[in-house]
Amino acid sequence: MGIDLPLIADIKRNALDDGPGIRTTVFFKGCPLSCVWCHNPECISAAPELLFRQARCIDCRDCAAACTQGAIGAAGPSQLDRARCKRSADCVEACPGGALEIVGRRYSVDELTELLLRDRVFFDNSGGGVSLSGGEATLFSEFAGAVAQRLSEQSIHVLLQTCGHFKWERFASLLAPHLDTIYFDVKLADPEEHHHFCGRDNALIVENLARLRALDVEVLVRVPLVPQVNCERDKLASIATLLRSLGVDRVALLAYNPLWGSKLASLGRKAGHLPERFLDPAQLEMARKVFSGFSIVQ
Amino acid sequence: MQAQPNEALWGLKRRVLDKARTTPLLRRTAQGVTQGLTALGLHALFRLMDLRLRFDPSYRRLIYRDGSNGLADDWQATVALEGRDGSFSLCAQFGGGRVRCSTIVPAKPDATMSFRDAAAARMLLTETPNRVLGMLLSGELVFRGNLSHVARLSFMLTSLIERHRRPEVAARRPIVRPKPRRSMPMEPCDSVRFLPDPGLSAYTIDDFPRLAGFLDDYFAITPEICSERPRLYTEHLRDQDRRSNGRQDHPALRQAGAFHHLMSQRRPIIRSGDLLAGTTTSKQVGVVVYPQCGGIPIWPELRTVNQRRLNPYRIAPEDVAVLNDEVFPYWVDRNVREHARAANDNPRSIQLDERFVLYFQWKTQAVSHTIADMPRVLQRGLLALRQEAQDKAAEQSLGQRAASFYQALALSLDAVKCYAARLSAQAATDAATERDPARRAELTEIARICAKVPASPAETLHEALQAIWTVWIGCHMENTNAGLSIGRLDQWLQPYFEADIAKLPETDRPAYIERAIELVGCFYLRCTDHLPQVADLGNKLFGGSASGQVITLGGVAPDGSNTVADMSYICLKVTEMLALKDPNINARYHEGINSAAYLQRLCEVNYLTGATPSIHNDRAVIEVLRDQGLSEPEARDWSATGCVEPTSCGRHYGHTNCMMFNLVAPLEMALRRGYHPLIDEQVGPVSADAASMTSFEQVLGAYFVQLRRMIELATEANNMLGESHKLVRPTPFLSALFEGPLASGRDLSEGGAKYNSSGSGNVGLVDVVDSLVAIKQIVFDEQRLDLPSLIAALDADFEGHESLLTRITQRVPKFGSGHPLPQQIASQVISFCHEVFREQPHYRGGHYNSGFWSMSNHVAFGTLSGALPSGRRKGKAFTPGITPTASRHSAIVDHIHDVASLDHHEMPNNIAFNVKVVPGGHETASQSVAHMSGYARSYMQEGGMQLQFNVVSSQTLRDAMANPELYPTLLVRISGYNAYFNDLNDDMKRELIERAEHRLSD
Repeated sequence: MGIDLPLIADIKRNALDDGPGIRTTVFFKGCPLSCVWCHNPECISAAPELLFRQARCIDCRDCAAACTQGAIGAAGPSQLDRARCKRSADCVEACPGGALEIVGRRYSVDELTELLLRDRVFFDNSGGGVSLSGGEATLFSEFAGAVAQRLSEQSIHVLLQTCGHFKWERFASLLAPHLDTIYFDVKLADPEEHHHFCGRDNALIVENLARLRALDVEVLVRVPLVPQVNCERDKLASIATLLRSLGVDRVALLAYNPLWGSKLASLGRKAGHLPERFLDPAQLEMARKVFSGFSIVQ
Repeated sequence: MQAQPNEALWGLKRRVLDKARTTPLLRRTAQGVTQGLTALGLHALFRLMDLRLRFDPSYRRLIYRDGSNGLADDWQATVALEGRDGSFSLCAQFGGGRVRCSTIVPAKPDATMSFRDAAAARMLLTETPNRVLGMLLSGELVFRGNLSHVARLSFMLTSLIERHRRPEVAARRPIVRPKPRRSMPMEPCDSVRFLPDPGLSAYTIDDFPRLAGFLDDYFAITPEICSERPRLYTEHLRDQDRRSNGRQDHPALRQAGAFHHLMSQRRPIIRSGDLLAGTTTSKQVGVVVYPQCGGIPIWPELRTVNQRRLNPYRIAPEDVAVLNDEVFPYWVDRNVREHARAANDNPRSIQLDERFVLYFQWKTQAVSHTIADMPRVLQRGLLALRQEAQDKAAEQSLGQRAASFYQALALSLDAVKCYAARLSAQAATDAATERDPARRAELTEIARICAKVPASPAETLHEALQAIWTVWIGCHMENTNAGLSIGRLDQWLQPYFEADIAKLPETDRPAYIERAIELVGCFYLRCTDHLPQVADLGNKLFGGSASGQVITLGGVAPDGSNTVADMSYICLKVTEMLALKDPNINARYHEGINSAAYLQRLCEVNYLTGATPSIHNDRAVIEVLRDQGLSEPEARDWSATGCVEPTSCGRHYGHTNCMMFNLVAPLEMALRRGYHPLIDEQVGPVSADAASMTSFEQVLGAYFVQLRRMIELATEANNMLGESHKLVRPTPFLSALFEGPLASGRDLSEGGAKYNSSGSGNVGLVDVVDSLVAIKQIVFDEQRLDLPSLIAALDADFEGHESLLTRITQRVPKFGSGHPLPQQIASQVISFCHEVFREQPHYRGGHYNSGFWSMSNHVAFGTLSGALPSGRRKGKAFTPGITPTASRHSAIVDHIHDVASLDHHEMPNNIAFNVKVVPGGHETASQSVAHMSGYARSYMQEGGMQLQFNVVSSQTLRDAMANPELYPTLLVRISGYNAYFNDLNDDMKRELIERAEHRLSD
């Protein structure tokens, strides 16, 4: 068909928190934003990446012996020289513990659809379906739309999780017609702060959210509550005001969790300065009060 | 622990030997000294025993009485003790109230205790007899010959070193029940006619003080061994032997005579406050002793069973005396195991059963595992059935043997009628002295009901439940309380419920519904009044198990209609409120006929109780029963039996747990040319040498050679034991409640039922499959090392082979990962088992059914097995039932796909698929229940047979292991049965903790 095939970072089956029922979530690799708290940092870059999970390493150095590029030396994979790594996967094959992994694999529309359909019995019996997540699936609207169309034809519920930063026309023509539900994340109201924390301002996001109201698709706005980013009362209030102005009356508040920290390390990146604790329940309570005029969805 | 008489001597000896061992030149001498001292020590032990026998009359009377004060007894036996390495041998001869020890061992001693070496034998001097018996599992000690004599010797040893009785284990403390959670309301559905809310969401246990009180008692009472049944039974048979002067009655008639004596002599008891009369034993919670089968293994423990750490029983001194003096001596040669041994010249197949690692033959304990035709009792009454048997007996054309059999049926039916009459009289007596008018009215009503049922047909729900309970007591007085199952309680009770409630005006109906819940609750709790006798060794093999009284709910009626109705939901409410380990509740779900709301309710009850009910795919099970020749209506009338195994109620005598069969042992043997490492003998045929195997197919071929031989041996042992059951333990009462015996003139034990089969629970399938896949991939496909090197790594328990172990566990696909290879190998092994079991001859006609569930034997067999190619380390538990092993790769959906893909037609004795789910913290119960229901329904639509959820996190289990006192009621699913976590041994607890867990939210 000539569709550019995107990289898929992961296909998570039995996903219970990515929409209603029992679902399979497809994580696209590549995102226009680069939020500092991103829980799926391996999905930001649209290129394949080598992941090293220290916890699974048994210090056998079989990887060093297998590496033809000299990227893994005597110090082992924890000192991986990413500049030299050509992602040949020789080390991945050699590793007995599965500590090394190449993230990012291409699937054809047929392959991916077939894989997703394997669990349709669970979707049917639980009111579940498929969630397109990432990364940002809308970067690959043509591919994502083709998959979503196949699924829709099989009466499978398709849900998109998006950061909202996408080209409207391609999205509206290729992907939107095949979606049942959209989870739309709104992170900050102030464009400059948005730029600071997420790498881009939110103009396009706000515009897209407004346009979505015209489409025949269920939209749920989600606000992640991230300490030191948007949890102050005034910031939340301005988000609420923004949403009101767009006619939104229902939000899901997502409490920050610090479990993503180890993922950054496995990509050889340093963690930012975000807390390593779960969101303080008092802050969640405060956020609920700010959004008290909205119906809050778990 | 008490200081042992020889402790000082051995302390000195140990010091000398330790010194000697450090000097290589002296080592040989030291070994000689050990052997010499062991023999010397054993001689001294028996010398001490003889002195005590001569000078202490109270000790002598344990084995010798002249009959002046009661029964005469003189234990005559020769027990040999030997080191298998030839280090020593001696012989203890009992007789005339003395023991004589000699180094001359006769050619055929009555029993032999064979120790691996002198060091193992020393344990007899330094450890409690109970610990010595524990050496049986490790193979350090092997018994040969009549085990009853060894049991009696162990009892004499315990009595020898015990100077005074130690304090009993402290009584259990009253428990604090967790606050009950509410169920969700439901709309009327299925065939419900009268319940406005089938979820009965208005009720919790707190609304039923009578039930709450019984439940609290149940947790607070330590079970007690009861000698009433074995005493009365044995008493009658002994008298009979005297009177008959060697004339042999029909075995069933002899049995019926003893049964009648028992039922007309045992105490009729009505528990204070209960709505149902009658008890299984004379104790509050009694351990029932069946000396014909399995009773004697408790003999060594009679003085210590109240002090053992796991599942202690109380026992009164008079019960010890009755069992040692009157009961067990009579059964030394007459129990099923020894009868079969003697009749078959101590066959290899039965000797191997006593090594515990290949298979466990349940017929040494019980047959049970079947379901009586209760509707026959409810609709016609015992009097009508007795008349029918009497008419048959009077038919002129019959021979003496057949006539005797029908007389046996009539006599056993009469026995239970007598017991009911005595219950009625007792209730009337109790009523006369009762001060509380409300209770007096209840007792008067109980007296009326017991005078009527089960002799005559039941007409009300209360009468029906009492009739079932009275008959149930009778069933257990005849048959071991191991796996005897109740059947389709909801369906059988529904007509009585409807008849009762239809008579009432609308306003009285809510109160009646409450009453129905209370009555069913009383019935469930009555079923908790007894436990199977488990020797301490059994705590390792099937710890914490109860009697396995399965109640099966739901499904379809014989005509195919939806049988889920008011009583199904009432039974589910009671299941939810009581969360008992036994009765073991199983539920049938028939896709397309039973409602989705019903399935959701099953999952909700499972969620609220943590572990029950187990859920079956009705369509799949009906198909496997049809495969066995049952008609469609007969197949539809099935119920789970014992654990999960299907049989058709009242017509299908299918000893569904005739054995627990270890699938892993043949693999260990296949890698070693038929040699078994623990048994330390060539057990199987000599198959191909590992070094010569050049393809995976050869490995699989060698496995199948060994597996076939083990199946042949195991079924041979079962057939031999079955033949002995025909003579030693026929079951005329159960036969009278069955379709077939009346027509055929044969007892159930002789194949008198309309349908016959036996079933095995095969253990360790997933371990075998994962091991075979690992061998294929690592040795043959990737050629990372050769087979002998892999075996060397196994022998070293992977020590020094960490990279290999990691690769196997992390990089080789496992069963349950969705990978086609393990799935394909699993299917091959399952097909092979099915075919080979089917080919085996069966002692009472019928066939062998193969199934894949493990009770707790996956732990026991696991602790006795070495490291496996699957990466499972030495001594670790196998995976339970057919549950995939825990792995970070596996998702619950893959587990479900893989298990559901297996062909149920080849697993007719069913499977146990355990799914451990963890409810999310922020999740509401309704979402968790919806997800569970989604999994269950998907699994069944894909063809899966059975599944059981454990709703508990590993974290909670870890906490419960550390703080047992905080979790007295924590119910868990093992593999086919439920148990309280605290009753399990540590290996079993660890296995549960390590099982794969699946979160019900991310």
